[in-house]
Amino acid sequence: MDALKLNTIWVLAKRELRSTVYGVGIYLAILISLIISSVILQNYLRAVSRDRMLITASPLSYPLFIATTICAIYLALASVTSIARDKDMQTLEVLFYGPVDHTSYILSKYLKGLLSYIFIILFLAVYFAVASITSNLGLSVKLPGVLLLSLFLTSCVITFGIFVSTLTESVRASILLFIGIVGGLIAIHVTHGMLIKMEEANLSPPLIYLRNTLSIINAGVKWASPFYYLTEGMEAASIGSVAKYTLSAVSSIIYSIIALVLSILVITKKGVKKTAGE
Amino acid sequence: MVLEEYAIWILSQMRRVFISLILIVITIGSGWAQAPVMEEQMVYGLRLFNGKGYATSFCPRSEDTIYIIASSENVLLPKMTLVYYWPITRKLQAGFKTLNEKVEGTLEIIQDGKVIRNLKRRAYTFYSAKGWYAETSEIILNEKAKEKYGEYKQAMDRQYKLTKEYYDRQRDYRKQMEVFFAKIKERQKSGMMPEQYGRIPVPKEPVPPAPSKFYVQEPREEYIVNLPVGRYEIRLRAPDGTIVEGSEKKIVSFTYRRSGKIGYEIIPAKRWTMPETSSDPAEIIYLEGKNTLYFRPYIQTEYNHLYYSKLLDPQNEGHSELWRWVNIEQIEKGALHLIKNGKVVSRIQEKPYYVQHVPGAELGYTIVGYDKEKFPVSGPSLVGYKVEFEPGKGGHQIQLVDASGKVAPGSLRELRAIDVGKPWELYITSVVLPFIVGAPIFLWRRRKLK
Amino acid sequence: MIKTVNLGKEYGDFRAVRDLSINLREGEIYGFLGPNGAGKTTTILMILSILRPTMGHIYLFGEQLNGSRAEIRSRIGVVSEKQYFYPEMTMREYLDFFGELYQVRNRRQRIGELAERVELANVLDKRVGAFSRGMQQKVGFVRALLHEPELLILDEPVSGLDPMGIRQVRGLIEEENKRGKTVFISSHLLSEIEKLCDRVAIMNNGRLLAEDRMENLVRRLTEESELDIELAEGKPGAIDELEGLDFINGVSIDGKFLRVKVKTDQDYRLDVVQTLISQGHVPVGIQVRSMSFEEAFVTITKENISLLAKVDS
Repeated sequence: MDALKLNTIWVLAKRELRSTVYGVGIYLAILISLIISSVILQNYLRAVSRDRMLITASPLSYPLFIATTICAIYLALASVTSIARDKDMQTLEVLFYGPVDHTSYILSKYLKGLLSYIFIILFLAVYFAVASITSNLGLSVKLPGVLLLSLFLTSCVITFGIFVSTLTESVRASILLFIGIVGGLIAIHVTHGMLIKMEEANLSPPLIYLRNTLSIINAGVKWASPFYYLTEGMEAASIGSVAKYTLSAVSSIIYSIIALVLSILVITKKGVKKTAGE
Repeated sequence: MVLEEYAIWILSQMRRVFISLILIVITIGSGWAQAPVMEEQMVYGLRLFNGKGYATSFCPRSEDTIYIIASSENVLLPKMTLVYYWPITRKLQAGFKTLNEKVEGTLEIIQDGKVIRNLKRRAYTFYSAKGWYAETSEIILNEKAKEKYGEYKQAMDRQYKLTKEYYDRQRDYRKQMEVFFAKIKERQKSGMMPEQYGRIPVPKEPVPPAPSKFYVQEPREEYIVNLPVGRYEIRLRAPDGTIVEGSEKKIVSFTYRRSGKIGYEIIPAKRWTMPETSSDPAEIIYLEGKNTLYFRPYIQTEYNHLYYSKLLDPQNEGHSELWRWVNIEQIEKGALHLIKNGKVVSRIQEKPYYVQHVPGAELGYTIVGYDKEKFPVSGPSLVGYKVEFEPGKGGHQIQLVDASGKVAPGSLRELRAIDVGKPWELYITSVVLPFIVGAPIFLWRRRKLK
Repeated sequence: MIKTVNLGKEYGDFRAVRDLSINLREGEIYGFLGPNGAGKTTTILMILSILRPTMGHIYLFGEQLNGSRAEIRSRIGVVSEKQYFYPEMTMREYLDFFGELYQVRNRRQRIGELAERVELANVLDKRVGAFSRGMQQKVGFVRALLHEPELLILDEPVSGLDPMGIRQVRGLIEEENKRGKTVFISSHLLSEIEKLCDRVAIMNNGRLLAEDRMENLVRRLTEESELDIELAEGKPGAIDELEGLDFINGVSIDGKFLRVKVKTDQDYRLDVVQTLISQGHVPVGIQVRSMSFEEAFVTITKENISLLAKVDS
């Protein structure tokens, strides 16, 4: 990748990051995630207070997981609407008058997402440091590792959002498609989870058929869902499995690369000009 | 364009989608509401060595693998029973009380396609030196099982005889007490003041006999499986030479990864019936306020999480990439050091304690030091190291030191007092953090654009 | 600079551009004319690799364009018909962003200079989204010139500008051309094309109808011109003598004003005057009315292709 391309990626990402930092959305997402973490932590502490004792290696992992998930959802929505918004405003075309091509454009979106998440992590790190001091829970040695892993996992969510954004022409369609896909994945996962826990003898034939079908679908689509990587990774961090942690990081990187490549292919095929009638 | 239209169509169909989802949930829910369906199956009852004693479970048809600890005696009990799904536990249950029919045959052990052993039923029993409720037990085989049971029966007969004598003495005691109270009443009636009663001997209550300290199960005959580390198959060959349907299973014989590290069972004074465990030195023990804790250190052995979970119950789930520590043997004789700021502030000795039920007290019980004379009937309720924890910033540590002064590996644990006093601090932090960064940026930007 | 060979773009059955072959030479101001829907913007987008051609080739700076070449586009400055901005940015931030994108050295200074030239220096720190249409167009110009491109592609550059603004932009274009920039202007404002362009290409229905210097185009298309002659006094018989001449296509009289249509193969003014004088009429004034470029343009795009074909042969 030459210097011009690297410069293009950096300049585009910087502009978007500035726009994000100047806006309200990111702070709102941080606020919501921290408040919910506070609720969880408070319930945690009350449970300790009630039972007088709690034994755990990393009490902050679960609230951190929740905070990370909320911020990941915000980043996903931001990514999902990003390309469509550029097309809506027609600023995308203006960029392509210059030294911007499809690859540098997509990579800049990705870089901006990562930088946004690093910005968010700073808040999370400070919050959990303060929380550990005020509650005397103490910072676990696992916490930096969890934060680092969360970067890989959020990368999946960001690239998924970028890919969805390349498929549509408007912000509204992007959001609808994102909600549709995520809702569908969750529905499959939850229904499948309910059905597999039931003994076959207790299921009617249509439900058995549904269960078998969902098993096949779930086995396939879970690899396409960024939230699968998020939950697997957080589980790896919370149970302290180094092998699973490493696998999680590597699979997240592979997922991100595939999503980025697909995004570049789609946007190259579809073009950057908003089609008439949109 | 196409995708947007499709997305809008989906949303327009939401009402139908929602109703369909409701119907699915109701259908699934109705599956839950039905009475459990019983199915007759050939299962293996299991009494498997778990490192310190024997776990009881069964292996239904739906589970194809049995996990055992290598080089240990394990009992397999093939039988016909009724199996049903119990939604509350989300597991299959065996209706042994309804149907419990032994399946006859020879148990074949196969490895690499070859039958390496043919097992017949053998006599066995379980012996617990510390009684029925003890965690540890051992298996005794063949003639020795019968001998041990004989010893137990003799002990039980003796126990019975002593108990009978005790009840006889109780009866006499009650009669003596009646006489005693009659004499008191008589003196009362005669107008005497209590100090004038004189000496009336108080009958001594008989002491019940100490219960038998050991327990031996009645010997039975089943298949005893002891295999080195490896993967095997088993099947039951019926007397007519056929393979019993449902009897083919895999066996995974595994061993521990590490052994010798220290874990703790921690009994909080305020809820002594609900102990906690700490296996991993990375774990921190969080406490609220002043606490009295009783530490019982154990030697731990580390097993694969999946294998061990499945050993306890083949229907359990586990993680093959994880490991878990299992308490094997309680360590006695040593000292527990309480450390603060790197200095040993207290050296605690192991002592026996007794849980004394106290009507009217807040807890209903109190834990006191065990005194054989005060509590001749029962033994100590627990033996451990008593730690009095005082809250304060930072943390304490505990560490086990053996009789020679050597620190037991993996015995270090951190104790921290959590502070739940000010919940608003967390919420304030949640709001302040984004605000103190976002607000200045937002205002600066607005000023710049104006 | 820009050369297209049989360039075409199809959308299903619809052919937006077909068999387009143009050649823009270095240093010239090249006009690209056509009514709305002729295919001008589609052509520009293909040149910029924003749209992929269905057929043909494009050569930019002598190199054939295969796919998107970001580094080639660094040598081009583009002003589109409408300007699109990031609404939260000020003019300075917007230009600084593009300056950094194009790796412009001393970009702060350059922004200042260009803003002065277009008289927008006093609004550099205002939100560009709040500018008027004309101001936005000027910002677009500044953005296009920031990185000193070799080639300027302007699509309806004076759209939305008032006469002062149009003059400013015209001055800018001429100035930049004098500094060596090649300019490609796509417009339907014939007056501006007429004033600025060295050569013109005319498109209609996706097809190139003509590419030549303007005076050549006009001359190729006009068969006659009109002479307006004022006589000292209107006498009868002025028409009759003139109508007999073979280079006269038509004569009409209104009082003392004669309108004579003459062929354009040569200058027949002297002949007409001499004929009138010989008849005793006294011409006191004579004016030539030839077809304007606008009339020539209208003539061409009324699908008068046979005329062009006849002239070419």
